[in-house]
Amino acid sequence: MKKILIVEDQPDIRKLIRMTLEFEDYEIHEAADGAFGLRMASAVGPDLVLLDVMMPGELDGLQVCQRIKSDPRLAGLKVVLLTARGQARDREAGQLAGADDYLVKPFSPLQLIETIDRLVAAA
Amino acid sequence: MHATLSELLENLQPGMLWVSRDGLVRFSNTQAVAKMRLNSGARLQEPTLINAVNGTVIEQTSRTVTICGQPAGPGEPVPELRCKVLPGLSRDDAMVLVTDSADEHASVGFDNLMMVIRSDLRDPLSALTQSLVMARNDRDVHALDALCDQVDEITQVLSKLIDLASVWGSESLVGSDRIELWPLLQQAWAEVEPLARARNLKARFTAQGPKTQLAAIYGSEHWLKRVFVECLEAAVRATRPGGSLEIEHRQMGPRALIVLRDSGAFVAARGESTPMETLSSAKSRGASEVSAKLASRDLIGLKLCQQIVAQHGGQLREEHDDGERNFLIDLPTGAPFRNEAVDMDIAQAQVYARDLAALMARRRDQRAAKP
Repeated sequence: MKKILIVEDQPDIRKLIRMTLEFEDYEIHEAADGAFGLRMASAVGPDLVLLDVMMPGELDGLQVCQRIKSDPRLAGLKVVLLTARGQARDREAGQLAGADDYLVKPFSPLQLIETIDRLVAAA
Repeated sequence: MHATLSELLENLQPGMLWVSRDGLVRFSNTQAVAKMRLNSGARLQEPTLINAVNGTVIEQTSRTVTICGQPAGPGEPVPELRCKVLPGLSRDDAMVLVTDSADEHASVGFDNLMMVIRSDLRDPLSALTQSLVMARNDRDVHALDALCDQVDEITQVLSKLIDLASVWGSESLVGSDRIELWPLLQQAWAEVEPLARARNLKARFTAQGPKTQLAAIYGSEHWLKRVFVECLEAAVRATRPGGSLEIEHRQMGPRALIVLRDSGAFVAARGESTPMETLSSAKSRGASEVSAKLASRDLIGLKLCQQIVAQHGGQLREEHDDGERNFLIDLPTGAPFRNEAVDMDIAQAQVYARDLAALMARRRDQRAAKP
């Protein structure tokens, strides 16, 4: 079973994502901040990370993404950034950080499933 | 009256009268007119208030009296008004803050504003008036130069007051820019550097750890840069000419600290001695003049910075370390909690609800497709 890690500081959004994915064939893991999310990524070895960009704490989503993408032990791990910021320069920042895709909140659950299915299938 | 000052006073929630020593109302804002039926140009009639204004003008100390106001309409009860009388912008006038018991709390914020206006505008306005007279009478080039300097100084103070009014009680200005503090600090320094060069100061910037790995902050890049410029400028002004400044970026878990080491930034605004003043203690009179000028210049800047940093969930503070007094800008890293997050929750839930039927249909199809 493929593993998905949700890194998001807002519990209600985490819950909505979990509800969206619970009937799909995925093992779901959760982290509430960037630093814990990075540790979970190393410990769990997920296939895909759903990563909120704006989180409180010492690492935001862009920094977590950069570290995942520069860590050879996490090679192949797909990262989808979740953000309320949909402007061109925000998307560019996501691309520079190495993100595989970028979903702007509020995103459709169908769009979320489609994105995950596509990226996990390509992995 | 300057249009900005008039606007500031008009928009104050409590009633506000600006009264001459002889009881002439020089300015009355809408709230005061409603409460006391005293328009600008009228004269005070209430003996208790007239006495309080006289006492305040003579002794330059504030006092509070209670008087009867005007009923809102026929048959309405006569309201009891609390009038706080404060020394005005010149030695011959007073400000009267009029509240009823329900909005007494507003007077605290007003006291602060009055203190800022009094300390930062009274002396420069007085000096400007003198220079204008001299320039008119003598057609003196030096007097014109002094005039330009004073106009410049007052413009700076008014500009800071406008910024302070813009950020006061408003979280909508904070924004959600992703800000990397190190480059922002360098941008702020570029603005302050000419002043440092003029004072022959050297600055050294250090960061703990690799600069590319410092935590980001979410908020308003414009206003945080304003904080850095104000703080660096205050530090430059407080450092003795030819001296040096040390600025550190420290990362302490989920907080970012910008530390101005032993600079004396904003110390004068808090009524304490700056390192510069300590060094020039032999010239005590000159030093106290410098200190007073620093205090005046820095007071609004300090309040502006406190307000902006507080809106970012942080604080300005001082730390004593090995005999040094360090000034710290302490900011939470990442995205501080704000109402926008709640709004986003709701928006996300609405989209989820909208697509729920399609999601359920997809699940039914998946179940049916399974052998």
